[in-house]
Amino acid sequence: MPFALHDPPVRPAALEAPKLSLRGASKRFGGLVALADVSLDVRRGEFLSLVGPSGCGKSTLLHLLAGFEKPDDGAALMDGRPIAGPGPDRLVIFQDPALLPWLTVADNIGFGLPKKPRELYEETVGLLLRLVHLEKFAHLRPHELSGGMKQRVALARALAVDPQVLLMDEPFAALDPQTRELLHLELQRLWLGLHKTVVFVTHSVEEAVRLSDRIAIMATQPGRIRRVLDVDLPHPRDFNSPEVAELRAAIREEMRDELAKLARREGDEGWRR
Amino acid sequence: MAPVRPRIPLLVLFAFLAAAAEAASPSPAGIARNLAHGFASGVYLKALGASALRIAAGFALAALLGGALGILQAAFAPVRRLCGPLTTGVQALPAVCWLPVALLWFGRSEAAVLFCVVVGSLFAVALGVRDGLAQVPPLLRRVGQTFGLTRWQQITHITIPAALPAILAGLKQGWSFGWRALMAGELIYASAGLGRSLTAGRDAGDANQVFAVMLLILTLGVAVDRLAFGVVEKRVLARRGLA
Ligand SMILES: Nc1ncnc2c1ncn2[C@@H]1O[C@H](COP(=O)(O)OP(=O)(O)OP(=O)(O)O)[C@@H](O)[C@H]1O
Ligand SMILES: [Mg+2]
Repeated sequence: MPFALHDPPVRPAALEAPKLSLRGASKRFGGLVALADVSLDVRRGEFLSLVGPSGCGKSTLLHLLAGFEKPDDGAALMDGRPIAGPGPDRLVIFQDPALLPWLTVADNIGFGLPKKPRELYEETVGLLLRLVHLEKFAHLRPHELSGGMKQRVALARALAVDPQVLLMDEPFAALDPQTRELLHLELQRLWLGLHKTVVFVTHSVEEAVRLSDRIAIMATQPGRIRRVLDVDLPHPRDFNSPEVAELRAAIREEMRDELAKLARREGDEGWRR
Repeated sequence: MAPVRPRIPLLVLFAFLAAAAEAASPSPAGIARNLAHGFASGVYLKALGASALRIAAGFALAALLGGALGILQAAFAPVRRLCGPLTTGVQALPAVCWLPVALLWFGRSEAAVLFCVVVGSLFAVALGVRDGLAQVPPLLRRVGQTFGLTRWQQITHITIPAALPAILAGLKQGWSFGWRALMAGELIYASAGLGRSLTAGRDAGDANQVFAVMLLILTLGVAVDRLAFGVVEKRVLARRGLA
């Protein structure tokens, strides 16, 4: 049964070979060092968040993993092999849902699926529509949807091709707080049932603490990984529990001097929440 | 371009035509009589048919050539650098300016008229195709890439549908430029056609006929613009929430 949510296989995650990794990866844009000597392992099936101030290279790091960009030095690997380019095994979800405005919700979701045999296509799209609670909106066009609905379509469109990895670049940043909370629950449920490896870029420490197994805190100028924290709270999480609040405060503290540095440099608030 | 509701301008034009006609001795009644007579005798149908055939052939050719020119410019930067400014510039040139060239190269012939139509509409089509293809949002390209589309799938599933509104707008403008060019061309040479009927009216000193034919030209122009292009364009844009 495709897209049925089920319990994960039991395995010692930390011992397994990493799903994705960066090995001493650097990326420059002209004179600007966007990433300097970054090494990071993403474990199979884990939910890893990247947090850090604006411009610290979170999207650049994600684009290396996506294969949109190549590292200038070092390597970006999946399953130990160099990432040659973008592909449907690592589906990228952007801040803008980037739906195709000429297709219906159903056909947007089915974008990456083979269109024949027709029955199988329609059945799969139907399952996905139900998975993200959009069955009533199958025949609408993207412009008729709210922001949260659009992002759910983008999520279902990505899940349709059954990728091993989801690379999400601030997917909920443009949504209002209630909608965001709803999508946090939805994403947590899907991740718990589908066991994808997720790399999730966010500005929001709150968001990272709610969803992640681990949080990589990035620093800026040059972009690098400052620390990787484990979030030892069981899933599914109560987002409003004291433990979540505590951890959130601790991480904000952790990032305070990084923010101070940024504020000195840019003279702006730079960092919100 | 915001669609203009045809009814009010048409009414104003009727009023204007009526007034102008009165002044130049012909009357609305005279125009109506002329139209009735022209259609009854089959002269106007023949003229309409001849003009329609020319615009169809000319526009088809212009769409092909303009489409090719636009695609080449969108696909190859050197071609764009070379032909880009030229396309934009020439597109703004009124089609009548091509008449002397047409006469020089083709003499007074059917080919000269066709040439006018083709060059009149070709560049507007090329511009629409070029800009439509070149202005596909980069994010949509990235979507195609992350789903692992091949180059060809990228073109058919992302680039062309994304460019469709601009391509349609280019075709529509190309058609309207071509139609004007045809009328100008038919004034110079034509065995039959609306432009020919216009000159015939002038030669006969028949103001009723001149205005009657102008009315026909206007009606056909508006009809194609509204019914053919308007309907398709509206459907495409409405789907995307753009109209
Ligand atoms: N294509 C590019 N060309 C030139 N510079 C770039 C490019 N992409 C990113 N940069 C620069 O690299 C640095 C890191 O950018 P990146 O987009 O990765 O930051 P980010 O952490 O995602 O920021 P934000 O949180 O604002 O999205 C920035 O200084 C940015 O200006
Ligand atoms: Mg970013």
